[in-house]
Amino acid sequence: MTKARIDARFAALKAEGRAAFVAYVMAGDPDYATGLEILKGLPGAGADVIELGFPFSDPMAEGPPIQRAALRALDKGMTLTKTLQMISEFRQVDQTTPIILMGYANPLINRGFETFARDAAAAGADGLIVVDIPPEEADPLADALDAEQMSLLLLSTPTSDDARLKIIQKRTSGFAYYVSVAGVTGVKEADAAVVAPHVQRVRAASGLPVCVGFGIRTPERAAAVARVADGVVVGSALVEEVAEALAVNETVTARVLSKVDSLAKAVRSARVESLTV
Amino acid sequence: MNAPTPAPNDYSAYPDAQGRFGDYGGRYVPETLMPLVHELDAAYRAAKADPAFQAELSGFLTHYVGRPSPLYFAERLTRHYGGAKIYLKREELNHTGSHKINNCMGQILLARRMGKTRIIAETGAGQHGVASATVCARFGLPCVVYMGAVDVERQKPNVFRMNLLGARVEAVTSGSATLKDAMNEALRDWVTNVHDTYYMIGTAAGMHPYPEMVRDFQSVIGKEVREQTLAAEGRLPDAVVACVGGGSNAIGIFHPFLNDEGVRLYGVEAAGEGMDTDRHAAAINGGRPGVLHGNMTYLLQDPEGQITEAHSISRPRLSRHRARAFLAARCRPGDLSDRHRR
Repeated sequence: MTKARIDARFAALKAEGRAAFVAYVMAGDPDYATGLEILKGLPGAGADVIELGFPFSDPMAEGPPIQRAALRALDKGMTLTKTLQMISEFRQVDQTTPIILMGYANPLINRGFETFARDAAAAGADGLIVVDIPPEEADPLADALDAEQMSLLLLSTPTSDDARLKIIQKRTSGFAYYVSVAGVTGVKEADAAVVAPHVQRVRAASGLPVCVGFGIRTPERAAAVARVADGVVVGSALVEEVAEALAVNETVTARVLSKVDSLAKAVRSARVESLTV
Repeated sequence: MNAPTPAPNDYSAYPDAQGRFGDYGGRYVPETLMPLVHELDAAYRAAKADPAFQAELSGFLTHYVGRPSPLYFAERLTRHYGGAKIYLKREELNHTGSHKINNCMGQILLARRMGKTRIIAETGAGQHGVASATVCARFGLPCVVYMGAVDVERQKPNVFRMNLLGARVEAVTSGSATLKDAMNEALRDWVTNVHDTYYMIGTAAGMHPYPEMVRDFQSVIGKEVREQTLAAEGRLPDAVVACVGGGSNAIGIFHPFLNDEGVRLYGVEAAGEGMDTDRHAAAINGGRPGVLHGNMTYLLQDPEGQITEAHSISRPRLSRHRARAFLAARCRPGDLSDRHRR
């Protein structure tokens, strides 16, 4: 069921001839109830795939926006267990939107890979990205996920040469995730022209749809990347909307979903516009 | 988590090619850093086997660091306790005032060999920061030291020294604003500046090959202790005691004795307000295995796998009750309690 959900979604998008909009949010940010409300609202606002962060105290590859999102969630008592519970609740209203969990190794090690994979699959998660598990350390986790038909998505980056891309894709399924900048999330900006040849390299090595993330903040940039990749991931810009809404006392869910809507529209119309230009 | 089985009691084989010390160690880093980690590993392998590198390091340890450091017979302390003859290895007499410079000297020579032009480091109390700033000043390389904002306040004299040596000290306010957050921030810098920057890790932590490098560069302490004890007493010591925070001085003094069955090794962790509280810094006695900063090791963590802060007091008390040699894998694999339990 699970890998199938990712494959079905990308097959449908391919038929439509457009890129996926992948929305990253932090589970339980700013609290469980609001986080769940945001999650449930994402597909309606235009998210084709959801990346759901599970918070970790020491997120070494995140820039300040996602670091702060993790701390907000942890302060409100968010855990990996509650993150999976949130997915179960989401699955009661949506059975088709793929959910990719994204986070760091230690909470998973703490739970045990087999137990985690079983619980995550049962909750309705489809895939997993672990920032600090490179291919060299991935086998035990990949085996556990395989047993539950869940995808492991190992990241490709600007420093991954063709030899490494092969190693990365050996244990990657679902889609390939290309990190567009060498750096942490939400700081440097991605350049579609620079990204384009790398997307082709990753696509050639993996035979999978390629989504691009890190450094995409605006509808314009999302559209530009959507013209060269199979999917566009936006994270920091969304969690910043949570922080902004809290700061000015606005409704968090409405503000986040409005941003999702504008980014999703840009991604959906990107190739149409490029054809008419 | 089954440990591989090298010859019993032979610890010289670690780490293996994957950077594992039994279950521990490894390379848990973002993909962006992985090619760099392989490059570092290859460069270190080459340097380690190169007599010219070892001779250069040895020369700097003698003429710049001031080695060997004395092994001092503590006559009054010995009389006070009335038991074993107590010798103190005087690492505080090195240039910069701690053992940290042994490792920094080795790593800066490696960084130069690799053609790196910018050095970053993390520091807690500031000793590794001062040692890093010093070797960078010696070789004319720019140095950025990440230090938790809380530690910057607690350790102002060391911040002053680092600045005086030309290093930039970045006060880290993220997370709990202490050592672990300084290391996170240094890793974020490294992942952003992969091409020109060398990350000088100061303790027996981080991804392979750092624990091995730190062990090798700090092992000069134990090698000297071995020779100095033989010269003074005509025999090896009955026991070696070292404090364990991150573990660099402990593994440095222990490593040359690891295969000596007759030498008991005691690692002492800071028990803070007591091991029955959560206000201590004893990751091995009071923590569980997990992954942080690139390696599998013992960590202070909550039941959900979130990292908790090591409790630090200005005058750390040693835990006399828990002074067992339990060194986890930074030093050697498995549980040493059986061999060393008294």
